[in-house]
Amino acid sequence: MKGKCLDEGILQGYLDGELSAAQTREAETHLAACASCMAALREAESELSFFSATFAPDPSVSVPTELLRTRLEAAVEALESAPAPERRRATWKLKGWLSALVAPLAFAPQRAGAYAGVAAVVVFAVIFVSLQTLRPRPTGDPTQDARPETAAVTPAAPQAAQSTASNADQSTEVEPLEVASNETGRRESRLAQVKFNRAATRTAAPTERVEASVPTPAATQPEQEVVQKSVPGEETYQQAIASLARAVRATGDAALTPAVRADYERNLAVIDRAIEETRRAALRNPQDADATAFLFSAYQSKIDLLTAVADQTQSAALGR
Amino acid sequence: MKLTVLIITILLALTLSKGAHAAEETDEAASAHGAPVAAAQLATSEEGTPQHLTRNVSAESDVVVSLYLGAGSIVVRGWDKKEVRARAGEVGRLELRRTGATDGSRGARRVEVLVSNSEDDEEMPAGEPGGTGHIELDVPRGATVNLKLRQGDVEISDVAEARVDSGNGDVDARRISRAAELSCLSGSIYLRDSSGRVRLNAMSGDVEAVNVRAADEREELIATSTSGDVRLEGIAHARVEGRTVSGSVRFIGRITDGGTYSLKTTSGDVTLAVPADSSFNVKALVVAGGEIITDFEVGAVEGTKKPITKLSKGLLAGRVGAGGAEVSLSSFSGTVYLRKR
Repeated sequence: MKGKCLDEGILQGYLDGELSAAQTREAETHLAACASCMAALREAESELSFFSATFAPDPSVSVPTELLRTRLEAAVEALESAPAPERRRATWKLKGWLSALVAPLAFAPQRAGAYAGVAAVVVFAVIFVSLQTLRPRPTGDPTQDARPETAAVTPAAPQAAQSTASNADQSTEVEPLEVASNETGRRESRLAQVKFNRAATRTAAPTERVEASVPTPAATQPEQEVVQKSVPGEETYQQAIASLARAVRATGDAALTPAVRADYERNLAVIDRAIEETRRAALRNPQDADATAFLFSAYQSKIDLLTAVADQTQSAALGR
Repeated sequence: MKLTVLIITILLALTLSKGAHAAEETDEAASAHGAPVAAAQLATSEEGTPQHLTRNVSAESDVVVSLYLGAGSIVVRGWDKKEVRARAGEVGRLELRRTGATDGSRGARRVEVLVSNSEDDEEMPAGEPGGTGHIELDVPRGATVNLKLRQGDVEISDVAEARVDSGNGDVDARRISRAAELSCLSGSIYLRDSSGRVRLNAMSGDVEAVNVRAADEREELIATSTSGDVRLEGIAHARVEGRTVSGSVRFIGRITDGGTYSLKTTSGDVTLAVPADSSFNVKALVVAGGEIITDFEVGAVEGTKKPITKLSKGLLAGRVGAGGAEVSLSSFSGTVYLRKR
């Protein structure tokens, strides 16, 4: 299915939630990679919304009214004045119209969503508590231990120090400018602090996880001498991401519209590519703190994305 | 056939009669404390088009107003009255509910706007996604406004604080005076002519902030996206972060002396376009493939002989003008531009 565009029936089935789990996964995979099918999906969804709105029950009356006719005429006029539709649009209109009519009769799984949301919160709580117990002990390095709490969670600070070292090591290319490097290091530390502060305001659990295993230069040094299969510090991000992803999965279907869900999948793919690319660079040269910083930045983007989506889905499910 | 026509005519007549009766219905604005404000005004708008429900309640100037809408659109405007007014089109019920502690002699400090598409809801639960429709809110200029919307656009202007969380739709905010926290999944975010703390986060849309300043020097502006572009123009914050994954990041405007700026992307370009007389320390970095292009002469920082350049990776670190601000520009596989403007 990857190479072949989704036909109208599959797209409509996806929109209506009628596909099997396997078909849904295939469709989402394709949608994540195919701009034209994504556009077609948006169009179909837009049409469905149009019909849903147009045929929404008029609260004040029980039979069609002048108001409803006016709305219909205005809506139809708006459609007719729109650019020429694609060939498959006509049939979608009918199907979307029928779906819209049936929609008010359909079972609304709000309670199921709420229960799933509660379960997600419990998962968060468990993770949070376990992270508290995993908080790292003082490193003995005064520059590490004396940092304020928010700064202590930043992996960028030790990287900045590594960056200074690596810059100085490569003397064939770099004028060893300690002052410049140190200045840069301080700046990165401050900016990273801003970044993680932000995460802390959104969700406590991932931030705490990050804090738990941020590597100190002393801790990572022995690992750099062997062939690495993982970048020091990335496990923390991966765990946080896994937790958030579970939370999103628990409530996602109830809250995200198909278009947003497909968009979400597409953006996850974008970030995963970025992670893969930067991770390769970081593994290729463990001394390259900049590559590692890019990797962590990509992980952070994924955490931000999942947090935003989790906010949406859980709010809807819990009715907050 | 005649029978059918007769039935339709009767039903139509009944409908029109019911609609006219409803349109005449007007409730007084209730200011009962701690109870749902039933200030109801169901009337035909002046234009004669769709019926609107209107509710209002007196409020403190720094009232916190919250609305959670399922789908539709939301427009919020600040006004000079100490009153919250909500108008809704195409909804069944609209309610302004005072929450939190109340004081009989004062206006509301917290108000929840509740919307339902059904007239039959016995109790409209607060904090749950409401129905669909177009909602307009007028609130005191000092108000904090919390909006959640699963699908649809949001426009908000002339309030103290705006917190918007949107699923699918654009967010357009103007003249926010104290803080803006705007987030959307599928859609773009625009913030203009505002001040205070700013956090903007879009998943797939662009993020744009224009003419925004800090109310105090500790405040920061953070703008992030995953696959959209980030554009920052005329930003007077001293702490600025712009970040995206596959989009580009642009900063256009003046650098604040002593400020810290971080513009970062993985696969897009980073552009810093500032006046020719700007002063800052810069670290520009590209890791894989891209290049660094500068209109500025980058000199050595104090105590060094030359700027750092590492050709194998694409690193340029040094001082422009007299230094002062710290600017970090980095793209993993794109190009970094330092432009004079």
